[in-house]
Amino acid sequence: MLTAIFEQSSLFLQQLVNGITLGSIYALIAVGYTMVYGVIQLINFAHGEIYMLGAFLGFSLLSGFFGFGLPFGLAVAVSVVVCALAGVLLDIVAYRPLRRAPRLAALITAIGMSIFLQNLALLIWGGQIQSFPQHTIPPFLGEPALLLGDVVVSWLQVVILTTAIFLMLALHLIVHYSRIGRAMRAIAQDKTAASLMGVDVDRVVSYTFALGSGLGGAAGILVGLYYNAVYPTMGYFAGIKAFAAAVLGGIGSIPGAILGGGILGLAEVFGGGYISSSYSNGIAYAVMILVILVKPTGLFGRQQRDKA
Amino acid sequence: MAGRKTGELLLKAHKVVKTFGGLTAVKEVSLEVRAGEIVGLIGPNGAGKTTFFNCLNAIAGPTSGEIMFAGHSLVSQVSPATRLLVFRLGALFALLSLLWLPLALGVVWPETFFRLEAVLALSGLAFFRIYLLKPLSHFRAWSRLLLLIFVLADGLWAVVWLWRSPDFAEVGFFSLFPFYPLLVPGALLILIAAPFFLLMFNLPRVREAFGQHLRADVITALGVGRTFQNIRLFSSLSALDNVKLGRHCRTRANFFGIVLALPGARKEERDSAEKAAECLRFVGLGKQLESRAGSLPYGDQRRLEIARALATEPELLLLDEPAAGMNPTESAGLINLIRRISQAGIAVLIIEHDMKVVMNLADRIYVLDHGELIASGTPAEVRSNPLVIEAYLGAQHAAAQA
Repeated sequence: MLTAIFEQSSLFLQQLVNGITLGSIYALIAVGYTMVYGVIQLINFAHGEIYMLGAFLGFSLLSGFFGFGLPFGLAVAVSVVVCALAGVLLDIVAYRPLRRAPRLAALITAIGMSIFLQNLALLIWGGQIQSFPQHTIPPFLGEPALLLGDVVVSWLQVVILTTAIFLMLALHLIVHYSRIGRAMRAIAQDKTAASLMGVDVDRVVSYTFALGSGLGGAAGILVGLYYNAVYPTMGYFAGIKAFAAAVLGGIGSIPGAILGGGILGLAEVFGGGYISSSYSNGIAYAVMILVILVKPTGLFGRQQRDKA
Repeated sequence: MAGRKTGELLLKAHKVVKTFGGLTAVKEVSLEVRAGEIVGLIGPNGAGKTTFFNCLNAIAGPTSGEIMFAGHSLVSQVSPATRLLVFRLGALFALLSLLWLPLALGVVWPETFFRLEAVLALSGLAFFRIYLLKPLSHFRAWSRLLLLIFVLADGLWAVVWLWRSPDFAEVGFFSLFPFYPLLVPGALLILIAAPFFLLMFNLPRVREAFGQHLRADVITALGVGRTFQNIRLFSSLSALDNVKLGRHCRTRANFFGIVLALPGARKEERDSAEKAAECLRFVGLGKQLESRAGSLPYGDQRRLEIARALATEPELLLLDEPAAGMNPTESAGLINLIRRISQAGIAVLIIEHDMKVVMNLADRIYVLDHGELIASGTPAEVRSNPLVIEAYLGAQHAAAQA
């Protein structure tokens, strides 16, 4: 009897740990969607591809795909920076010329960029699933950091969680206590007024893309390591799910995206663990639909004021 | 504030015209503001006062006419056609340089120089070239130098490529790459285009294009602050954050400084908080620093807008109906505030419907009606001008008075 309860609770705890890990990754990606949406009201569907790019860059720099290999930390840092730059490039090439165009045009462009980037990755890296060569990953990552009975928390999970929390905190500080973050929040409310108060709107939008894409790239590497699998379409599903997380939390709200990512990750893992693993995605979306039915603007969403 | 002598010419608008399609909203309006002055701009509803303000800060630049502010022209001198031409040339060149990316992805060239260039390209050289389009479209001086470097580098690449392309054809990667056949015509195109780009620096038409293009934020940085007729605060930000935003163009911390939280960026943030608090105390909102801007009372929101504009350190402050919707006590406070702003050395150009406020404050008044300047002079002169009475009260009334 007692052992049964103990087994039950250890299963629960293990699912909790896995769910939080997955949720923190979804949150990292969802933040990128929500930031861009908050500032220029564009759903950047190519954001999932930036995440995929992050995973591939991490893989390539570690495995020596480009002809040279980098140490682990440096490879991660370089991938994040390149992803940030790629996000800015994406904005400049694809979205900036359409800033004054109808919103639908930019949305279609976003989908187009997503397809383009996916195929570019296919062209460069090929379609097969790649995994990180064993020797390039620090060996301790695979070992358990914490053993509570049957519950295993691996070092990789610890690293993922601490990285995610650290990045979210840094983002919070930047958005709330820096001139660039303040300008982002101002542009989200009134672009013209912000520009008249001396804010270079285009530049601040570029910074927004850089921050969001940097986080997305970081999430890509973490996921690549977690599942040890990198492939060109990985950004599509993760992107859709993170977008769902952003909507669940209220698109445009950063705390909402974080909470939404967490909820979706937990729903997916618990649904997979207790109900049926083949329906885990469906259960995650069902949770999202339930929340949206009750609160259409999402958990932290505000009623959009129509601009006359 | 900037140590200008009182009476020095600050703003000079000359025959400013603004048309929207067939409608002329502002017709040849000329106006001057001198340092230390408070100048009123009045007129019946729809006379074109706010449109004129929008001409001043490039929100909707004038159709024709000249506006000078402290030695700078506030009108973009670049014709849209020229801007488009330069922009397209820049875009073409940036796209051409993308042709080298497949070479870079190969990383197979034996020469160290090219391997270095290849790694550079991989880590974002193409990005920087496209990023170049932005300063190019704003015609900043340093973009010319950068462009020159790229033109020379690409010219070199093209020569080497054409000279040695048979050797490279044997390298498997290039022959597999689908864009490979494009490289030869691409290199030729670059060789043809490069001299034109070099010429760009001497062609008068293009030099003119590099002259000046103004955006609203650049004009604000030059020293023109403004408030709005219908309050446009960032309502979900705190009062302090609203004013700190005004400091944006007076602060320098860049992206990396902020992301890495370098000491310089942190100190600047503290300084700007202090300066913003000072501006808020100046307008009498020293106690509401942390209140949400949107939840402040109406009169306080008006004053917060003025504080935000003051934080941009203007030499000229444009106030668009600051007393609208205020009761007599509040507008008396406003008159006092504008006086103090003027005493701080900031020239004020004020649009106002409340005659008591404007007659009380202004050194000189300009009167607009149907987009045309119908009178100007001291408040007393304007008040007794029959044209002004006619504009406000109708021709019959003017005749009865005379």
